[in-house]
Amino acid sequence: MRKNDYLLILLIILLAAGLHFFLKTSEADDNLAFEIRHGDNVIQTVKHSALTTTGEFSVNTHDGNVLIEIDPIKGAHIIDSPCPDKLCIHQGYINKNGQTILCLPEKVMVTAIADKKDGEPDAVLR
Amino acid sequence: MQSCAKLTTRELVLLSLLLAMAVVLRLVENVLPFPIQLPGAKLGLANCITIIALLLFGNTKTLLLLTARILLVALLSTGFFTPGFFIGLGGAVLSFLLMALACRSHLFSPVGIGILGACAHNCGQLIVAMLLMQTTALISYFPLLLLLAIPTGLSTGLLAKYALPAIRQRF
Amino acid sequence: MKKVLVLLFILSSLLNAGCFSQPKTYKDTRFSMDTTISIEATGKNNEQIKTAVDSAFRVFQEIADETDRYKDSSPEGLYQLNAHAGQGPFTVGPHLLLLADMAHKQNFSEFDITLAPLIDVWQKHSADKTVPGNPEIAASLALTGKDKFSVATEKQTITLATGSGLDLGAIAKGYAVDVAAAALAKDKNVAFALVNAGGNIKTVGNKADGKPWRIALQDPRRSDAYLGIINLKADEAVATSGDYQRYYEVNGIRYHHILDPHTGMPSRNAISVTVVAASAFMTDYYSTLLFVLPHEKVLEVLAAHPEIAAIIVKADQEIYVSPSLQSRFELTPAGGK
Repeated sequence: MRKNDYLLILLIILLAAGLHFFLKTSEADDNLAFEIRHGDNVIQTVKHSALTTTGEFSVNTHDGNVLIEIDPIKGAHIIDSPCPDKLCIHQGYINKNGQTILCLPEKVMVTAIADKKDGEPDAVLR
Repeated sequence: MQSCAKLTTRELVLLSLLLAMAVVLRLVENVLPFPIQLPGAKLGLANCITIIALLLFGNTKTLLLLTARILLVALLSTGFFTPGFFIGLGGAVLSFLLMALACRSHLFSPVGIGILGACAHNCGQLIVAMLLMQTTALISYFPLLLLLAIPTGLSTGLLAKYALPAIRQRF
Repeated sequence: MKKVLVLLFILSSLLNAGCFSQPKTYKDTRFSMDTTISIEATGKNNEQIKTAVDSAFRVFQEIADETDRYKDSSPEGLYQLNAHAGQGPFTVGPHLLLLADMAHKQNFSEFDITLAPLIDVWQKHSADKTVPGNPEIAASLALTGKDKFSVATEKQTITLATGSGLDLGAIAKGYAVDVAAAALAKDKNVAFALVNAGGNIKTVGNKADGKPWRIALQDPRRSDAYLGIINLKADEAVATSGDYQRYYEVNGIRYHHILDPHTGMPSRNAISVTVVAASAFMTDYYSTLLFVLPHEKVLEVLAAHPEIAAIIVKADQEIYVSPSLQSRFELTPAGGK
């Protein structure tokens, strides 16, 4: 076996591993949804793919409204909040499964979740 | 480019033997499990014959061999223009292209050629499957198939490597 | 040099041997206990999975035969027991014994397994599309009640009063689902499975992706729509009792199969009751009991039993969801599926 052969094998393994991780992270995007919570309550779940233009969603809290903007390409981010330090606005966009933006003082949380496909329960109880 | 008319009897006999072996290998592969539910997807063990042919005869005659093999296998097993046929075809075409290139470049030993061929074979099968089913969902199988290509490529390459001197000796 | 090659070869082949064992799923559907039962199991080997599912069905059928009131399928079964009513202690099979004993030991008069005479009256009238009159109902009710049977577990006998009969429709299925699920859980070849006995579901193990089992609940008033989706954990059960499962209508009034043992009439306190618990028997039992109990009592029972939780569609179509279920029950928007 030549040296090149070993190099080839190494290259393939690296390629496979790289592809694997790349594919894993982007696979969730097709079925992404944003879950907007206030405290324990889920206010709304917005399907990413359902948006054709940027949508605005607001959560009513004691102090005012937390404004969440969801962009069809970039994802979700908080654009306005009555909280004092506005850390949540600086958290930027989330667009991958598992990412969250949290506004602790207002108890508002936006989570990107992998939404289940419609009509796909494991079983139906009749 | 040598034309087929210039085939000597000796070459013809040898090519026919190789063809027979390739066909048998292809048919036997049907029994072996393949990790993904693709109709007609196979491991690609018949590549070892292609490697031998490439190293003994060059591109044109190997292409002839491949065409004959594909036709025979279609007659005997996959059928013509079925999904299995196209998937096998995709694998065969891509692996031939890569193996021929690898041969020409003189960068690799038969083992390396085998591995390249196996990778191309698997990728070719997957690409055709994605085209047939009009979906990109299968793309997640690429890493698995690439890894699978290593042992199959090793097998075909090693087989070719050890068989080659023996064949040269006798023919 | 060669050794390295061989090693590489073996290593990569092993890797692929692992890849070759994709999980295999097998699903089978059969008819038993007057409903369709389907069992789906996933594991490494096709043969072994099929064997596991077949065994689960076998044990399910064994219980079905022993608790079948309408067919003489077992010498120590319910059919024979009812036929021997008034003739003293009758030896019964283990499943029947266990179920009767559990029913006897529970204290709610709203749950009654002695309703066979009453059910027979209703079945006769449902065929004619008529409603039984009060005297007929009263007469059949006189033959029901916990005092009409006794269970002697050491002797493995049940004694039934003359004219009375047991009907285990409210709990036999849940019990059978538990036993079938246990058989699947014990089988090492089964990675995870689901038993679905029309109205009774139990999960076995965790799904491959680790996500909860999503079970859709049928909308009680629309056969093509879901009420909502509930997320079940591993080894958890859910059952629904509804007035839409078995009924007939006379003059626009629905007469369904969940009867109130006190009045002899179908219970009107709810439209559907869904119960979640660790045992399918419990979900079956409570879904029937909570259907008959008035709503205030239902809340008391739920409060007293934190191990169960319920989703109730009340008579006025208002939906009640136990607090512990709220985070894992998604109500389907009206008009959606």
